[in-house]
Amino acid sequence: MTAPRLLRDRILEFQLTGRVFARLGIDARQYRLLLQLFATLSGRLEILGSTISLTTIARGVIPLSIFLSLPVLARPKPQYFLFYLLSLTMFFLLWILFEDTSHSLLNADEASVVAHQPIGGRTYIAAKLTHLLSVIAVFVPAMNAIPALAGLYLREARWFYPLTHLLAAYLAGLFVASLLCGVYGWLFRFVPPSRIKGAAMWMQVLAILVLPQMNMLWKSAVAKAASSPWLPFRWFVAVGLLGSTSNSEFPIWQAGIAVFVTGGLIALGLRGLGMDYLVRASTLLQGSASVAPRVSRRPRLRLLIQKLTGAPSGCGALAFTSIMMRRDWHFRRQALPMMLVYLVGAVGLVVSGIRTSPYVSDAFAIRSFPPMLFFPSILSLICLMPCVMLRFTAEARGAWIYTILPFERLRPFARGMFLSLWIPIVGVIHFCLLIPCIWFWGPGHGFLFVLFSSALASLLLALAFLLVDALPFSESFAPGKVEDAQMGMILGLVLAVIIAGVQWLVFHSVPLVVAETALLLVLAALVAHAAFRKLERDMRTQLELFQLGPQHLFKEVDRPM
Amino acid sequence: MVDSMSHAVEVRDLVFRYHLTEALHGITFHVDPGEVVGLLGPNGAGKSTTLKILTGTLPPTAGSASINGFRLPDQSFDAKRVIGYVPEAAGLYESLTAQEFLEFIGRLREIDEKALQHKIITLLEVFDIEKQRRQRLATFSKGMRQKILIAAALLHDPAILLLDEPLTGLDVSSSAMVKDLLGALAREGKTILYSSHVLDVVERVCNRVLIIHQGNLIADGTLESLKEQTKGGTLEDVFRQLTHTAATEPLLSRVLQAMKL
Repeated sequence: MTAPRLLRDRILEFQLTGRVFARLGIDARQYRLLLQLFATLSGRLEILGSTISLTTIARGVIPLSIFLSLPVLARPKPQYFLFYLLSLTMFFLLWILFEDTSHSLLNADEASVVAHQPIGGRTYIAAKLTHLLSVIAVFVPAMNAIPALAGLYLREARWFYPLTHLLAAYLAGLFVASLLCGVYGWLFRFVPPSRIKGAAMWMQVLAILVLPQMNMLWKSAVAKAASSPWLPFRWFVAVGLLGSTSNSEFPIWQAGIAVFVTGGLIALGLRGLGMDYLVRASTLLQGSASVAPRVSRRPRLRLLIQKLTGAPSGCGALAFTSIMMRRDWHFRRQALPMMLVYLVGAVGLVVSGIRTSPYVSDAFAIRSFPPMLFFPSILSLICLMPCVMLRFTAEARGAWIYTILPFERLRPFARGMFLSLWIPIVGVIHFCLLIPCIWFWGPGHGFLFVLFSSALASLLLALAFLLVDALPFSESFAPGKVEDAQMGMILGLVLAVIIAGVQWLVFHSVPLVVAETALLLVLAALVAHAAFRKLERDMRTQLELFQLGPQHLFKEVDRPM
Repeated sequence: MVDSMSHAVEVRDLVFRYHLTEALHGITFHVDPGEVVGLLGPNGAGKSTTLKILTGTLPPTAGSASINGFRLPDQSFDAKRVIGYVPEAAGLYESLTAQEFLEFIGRLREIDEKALQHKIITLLEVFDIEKQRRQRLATFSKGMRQKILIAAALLHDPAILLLDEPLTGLDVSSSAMVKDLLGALAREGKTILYSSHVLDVVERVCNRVLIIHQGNLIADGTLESLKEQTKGGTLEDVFRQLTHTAATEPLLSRVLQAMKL
């Protein structure tokens, strides 16, 4: 048993702890048992401990914290440095904990195992929340320890600044975690069980869309930081400045009211979560059944897809992958928010850039750069996340169905999978783009741009499709993959800028655009062909593993592992 | 507070609605202490929903349900202490071993550690999975998982057993063992509400039969009284008559035709 666990168990054995827990409606003994259970399950990867791994901390967060410490060299006042660090800490924690809270609280399968056991809702939720707090325990010092020490160099910093900085950062982390759980509590309170997962996903999308606008808040808030006690950031800045003279003007009563109101709302949310969580979580299982079928039954369309892919299995792959991308909970939660963010970006590009023709006639000038040249690259970035996430599912046990798939039908199957991404992301979107492009740039230019954009997006999708290396929705979710895909999408933005820059050169000459479009189409076909071949090989290997024994699917064996 | 101690299980005008679908349309029945009652009905009739409400894992839309006088879902914590439940779908923590899972359940139910270990070994031996007790549940077959669920339901010596298709996946010998076990538990004075499609087991084990059809309770009585009422020779005849189960011949020919398309 590790030292932190030993310490935790000792604390829980104290009579006083038991009394405090009892007052809160928490059974200390069951709480300890549940903590042990969650630790075991996450250690054995049955439930997700946290989407943030120690590798990410070492490779990403600590180097970032060194970079974030650099402003101390300019010797700003501690309040500005604290505000900047704490708001970034809260921003990143919000991002990470959205994932983790969702994993933790909306896992109906896990809750249903013990739903009929005599466990109080509060006890279960308390154990769940404690499990979540481990993220804060790891992330906050990783992000703040170096800046806190560097803060000693700040103007007017006292000798104990690192301690108050870390205390403020921990409190800010706790606030973010409680806020999120409180919000989930309100969701559980007012949203019907069948809609909770969808509501949580849209909340995540909204947060991802709004959080990047923090830059604006930052600009306005920095100016108000010293005076506005209504902002949560400011409360924690005040904690970080404890014992400092710059804290003397902080209006405690205003902040007190703000803390009281926010705390009350969070507490009510948490109460809603704890009341009958296990019952509500069990009803989430009922909720997943009622989905209106949307599969196209049009025989002509089916026939066309069958011809395009080469076999009925292609048609099946297209239908199955399309349906699962809409319904699989893990896929929806992991991939859709980022996809929607980029989709909103692409729509924004069209709205803001459609009036500027990409066909450049004058000399190069940054001001005349046509934003629409980003469009195909941004669109193809939407495909990156599903390409990485396509193999994972919440219901990996259903993958037995693939054992009936004949090996010789794998290539059409791969084509069907590709079409399930190409049709909505490249095909439909470019079809919709055709009208505004023709309207603003004329039929020739409009049509050529749409053709060029489709060709480039198809090529980039084919390249992204090389990342698909397994049957769709056939394996249990691996958390590290999300980080990789998110990192890929961010790096993809750099690539998008380079690609758009090259296109800027090409779009000076229409014949050059025609030639490039033709070349891109050929390249897209070649890369897609290579991707299908690779995927066929990977799927064959996976199916051979499946056929070695059912243990690869169910691990249903009668002999020792 | 305990309302009444007369019935072990009491269900009154129970309604369960999910969205626009009403799964139970106000069913009423009770089970007395020591009774073994069979709960029958076609697929989707509402049997599992009724049992889930009685285990406190689904809140009823209207009406009332109680276990040993504990109202559900308000007093579900107390009700859960006296029931042992074998669910229809085997939800287990796959990465735990059989031993770990049963230990966890036993400790949740505050069973003395020495007694718990003894109970676990006995139950696993009886169910012939003692050798696999250190294996993760993910490696267990359907029948083995079912045995674990039954063992988990019996660990705390519950006064009331709610069994939802407990024989699913069990081999012949285990199935026979569970049937005999039910008889023995009944003789011990346990109350058993047994939901099943296997009519001969219900016929053999239960004192009384409840039949639910399309969310309504359409029969409640002893096997003899139901046979008399419907003039049926076997429980299957009674069931077919009450649930208006169609003759299978025309359906079979439709299936065969569809297969040849």
